[in-house]
Amino acid sequence: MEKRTTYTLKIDVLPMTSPAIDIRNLKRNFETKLAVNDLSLRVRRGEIFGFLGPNGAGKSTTMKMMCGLLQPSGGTVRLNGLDVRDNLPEYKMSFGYLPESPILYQKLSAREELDFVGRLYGLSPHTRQTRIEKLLKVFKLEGDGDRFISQMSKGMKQKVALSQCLLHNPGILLLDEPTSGLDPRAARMVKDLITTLHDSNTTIFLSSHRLSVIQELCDRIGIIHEGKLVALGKVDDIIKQSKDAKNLEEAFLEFTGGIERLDILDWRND
Amino acid sequence: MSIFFLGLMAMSIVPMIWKMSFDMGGSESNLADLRMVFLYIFIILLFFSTSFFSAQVILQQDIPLLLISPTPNRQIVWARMASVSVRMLILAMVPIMVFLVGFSRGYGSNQPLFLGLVAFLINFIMASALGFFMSLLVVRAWRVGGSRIVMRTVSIVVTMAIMFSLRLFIWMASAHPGFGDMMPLSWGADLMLGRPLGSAFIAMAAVLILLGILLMNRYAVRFWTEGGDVTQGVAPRPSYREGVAVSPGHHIISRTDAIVRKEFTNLKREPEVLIRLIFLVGVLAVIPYIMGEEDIPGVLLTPFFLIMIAWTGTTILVGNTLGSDGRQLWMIKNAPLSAEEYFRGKVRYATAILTPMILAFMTISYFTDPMDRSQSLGLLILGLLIILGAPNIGVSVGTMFPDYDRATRNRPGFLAFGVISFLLLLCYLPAASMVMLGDEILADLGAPSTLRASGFAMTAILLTIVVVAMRNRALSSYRKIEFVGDLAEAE
Repeated sequence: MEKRTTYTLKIDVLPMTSPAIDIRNLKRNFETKLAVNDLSLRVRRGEIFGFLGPNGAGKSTTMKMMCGLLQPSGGTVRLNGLDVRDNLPEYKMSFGYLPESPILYQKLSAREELDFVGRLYGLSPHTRQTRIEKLLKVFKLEGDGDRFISQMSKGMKQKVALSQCLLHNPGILLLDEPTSGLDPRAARMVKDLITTLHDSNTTIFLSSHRLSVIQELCDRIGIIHEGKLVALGKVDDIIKQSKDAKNLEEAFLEFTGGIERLDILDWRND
Repeated sequence: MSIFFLGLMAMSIVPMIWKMSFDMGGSESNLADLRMVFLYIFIILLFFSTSFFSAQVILQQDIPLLLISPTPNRQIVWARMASVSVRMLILAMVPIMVFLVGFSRGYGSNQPLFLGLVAFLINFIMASALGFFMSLLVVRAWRVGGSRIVMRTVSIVVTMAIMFSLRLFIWMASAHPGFGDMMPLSWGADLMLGRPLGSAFIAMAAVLILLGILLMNRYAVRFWTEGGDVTQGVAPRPSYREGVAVSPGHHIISRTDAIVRKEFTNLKREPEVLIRLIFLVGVLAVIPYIMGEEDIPGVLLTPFFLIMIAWTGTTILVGNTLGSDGRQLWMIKNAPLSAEEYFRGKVRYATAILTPMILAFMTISYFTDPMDRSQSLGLLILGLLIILGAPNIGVSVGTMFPDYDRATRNRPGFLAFGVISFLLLLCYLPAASMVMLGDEILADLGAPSTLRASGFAMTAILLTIVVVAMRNRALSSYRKIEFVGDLAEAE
C-alpha cells in the first residue's frame, strides 16, 4: 500500500451570490464510526458538481443528509438558503433526489407511480398529466407507462425514478449514480438531459463511480475519503494538485489512499 | 393468525353442533338426518379442497422457485397437496369430533364414534382427491381468462350458501325421506351406524379415491408446472379532472389524497386482503343467526364479533403502516408531506374500508339477531366508537412498531399485533359488555338504568385518551425515522 500524502485543499473563490447548496462542517456519527467528518462545500446555482469517493466514503450519507433522510450530527446543510433542520415543505420542494438504488412501488404502474409522486408534491391534475406524458416520452417509456413496476427491467425502473425526481421541476437535483443500470444509449440520454438541465440553470449535485461521466459533465468535483473532503475544484486543477497523476483516475486513487495490491487467487491456496 | 381465527370460529359453534348432534343421535329418524349431514360435509370438504388447492397454484408465489430445485416436480406437487390436506384435516377435526361425540352420547353407544371416524376420514380423502382434480379445472379456466377477484367472490358466495344450506338439507331429509338413499355419497352415515349400505360406501369410496389418484398422477404435475400468465396485465390509466382550479387548500388535499389513492391501488392489486375481511364479516354474521335458530341468544356474541372485525381489519389494513411502505418510504419522507398528512391519509384509508364492514355487520345482526331496542342502540354506539377509534389506533401502532422485513407487507409484526390487540380490547370490551345488558337484564340485576350510558361514556373518554396519546407518539416516531441503509430505522 502506497504511503498517503497530505494535501492542502485549493478552494475556488465563489461569487458573492448565495450558493444553491451550502454545506458547512457537516458531521454524521454512526455509533463507533464517523461517516462524515467536518465536510464543507458550496455549489453555485446552475453548476454541475461531481461528488466522488470510494465505496463507504460517505457519499450517500452526505446526500441523505442533504435530503433530510438522515439527521446531521453536526454542521448545517442549506439548499437555496433553507436549512434542512427546519423541515419546511419549501425545502423538500426545492430539490429532486435520485437514490443509488431507487425502490419503487412494485404494484403500481409507471404512470400511477408518477401520479402518486406528483400528488405528493401538490401538482395540479393538468400539470401532472402533462409532465408525466412528457417525461415518459423523453425516456421512451410511453408504451410501457401502464406496465407494473414489478414487470420492468432495472434500466426502466431507473428511468421512472429519474422521471420522479424531475416531475416537480426542482431547481436542484441530487443524483446518486444516475446512469446505474442503464444501457449505453440510455446513459447517453441521461448525460444529455443533465447537460440540458445545466443550460437551464438547474444545479446538479452528481455522485458517480464513472469517472468518464464526471469528467465530461462536471464543472467542479469534490473527492471524499473516509468522511473527509480531500480534494475540491475543477478536474484539471485536481489533477495538477496530485503528485504523479496524469488523469482523473490516477488522481482519484492517489487522493483516496492508493491501490492495494492483492494476491487475487490467494483464497484458493490451502 | 388465520388458523387462530378459524379455530375461534369453530369453537364458537361447538355448543350448537353438540346440541344438534345429541338430538340427532337420540331421534328415531337419525339415519335420514345423518345421511344429509354426510352429504353436506362432503360438499363442504369438496368445495374447500377445490379452493385451497386452486389457491396453491394461483396465489402462491413460491411454486416457480420450488420447481427449479433438484427435487423432482412430482414430489413437490404431492408434498404441497399433502400439506394442504393435513391443514384442512386439522381444521375440520374439531367440529367433526364434537359432532361424533355428541351423536354417540345421544345414540347411547360408542360404536358411531369409531365407525363415524372411519366414515369421515373416507369422506375426507374422497373429497380431497376429487377436489384436487376439480381445482385443476378451476386453474385451467382461470389461466384461460379468469379473474382472481371473480374467483374469490364466487368462493365467498358459495361458502355462505353452503353455511345456510344445512337447514335446507335437513328439511329435505325430513320432507323427502328417500332423498338420502338416492345419494351414494351420503352412505357414510350407513357405515357409521353399521347398516348394510356401509359396505357399498366403502367400495364406492375405493373407486373414487383410486380415480382421483390416477387423475392426479396423470395431470397434476403438468397443470402445476404449466406456464401461465399470472401477471395482472396492465393497469388502467389514472384519470384526471380537467380544468380543476388550484384552490388555496388544494395542495394539502392532494398530498393526503395521494396516500389514500396509493393504498387503494395497492389494495386493488391484493384483493385477498379485502376478500378475507368480507369473508370474516359474512361468517361472523351468520353464526349468531344459527345460534338464534337454536334458541341461543346471538347478542351474547355479536358485540364481540364486531370487535373481532375491527381487530382483523385494523391489523391487516394498517397494522404494519410503515412496514407496508417499507423500502419505498424514502419517497414519502423525501416529499413535502408532513407527518400529519401521512397519518391522516392512512387513517382515512382504513376508515373507508372498515366503515362499510362494520355497518354491514350491524345491519345483518339487526335483522337476524333478536335484540331489544337498547341492545341495538348499544351496538350502534359500539360500531361508531370502533369506526372513530380503531383506524387511529391501528395506524399509530403500525407507525410506532413497523416490521420492514415481513414477506407479507400487510401483516404486523408480533409486537404491533400484541399492542393493537391489547388497546382494542382495553377500549372496546367494556362497551361490548354494555351492549349485552338489555332492559330486562338490567332490571333483573337491579342495576340503575344509567349504567349503560355511564359505561359508554367511560369508553368514549378512554378511547379519546388512547387515540390522542398514541397519535402524538406515532407522529413523533415518524419524524425521527432515518435511512441508514435502504430501510428506515426509527431511533
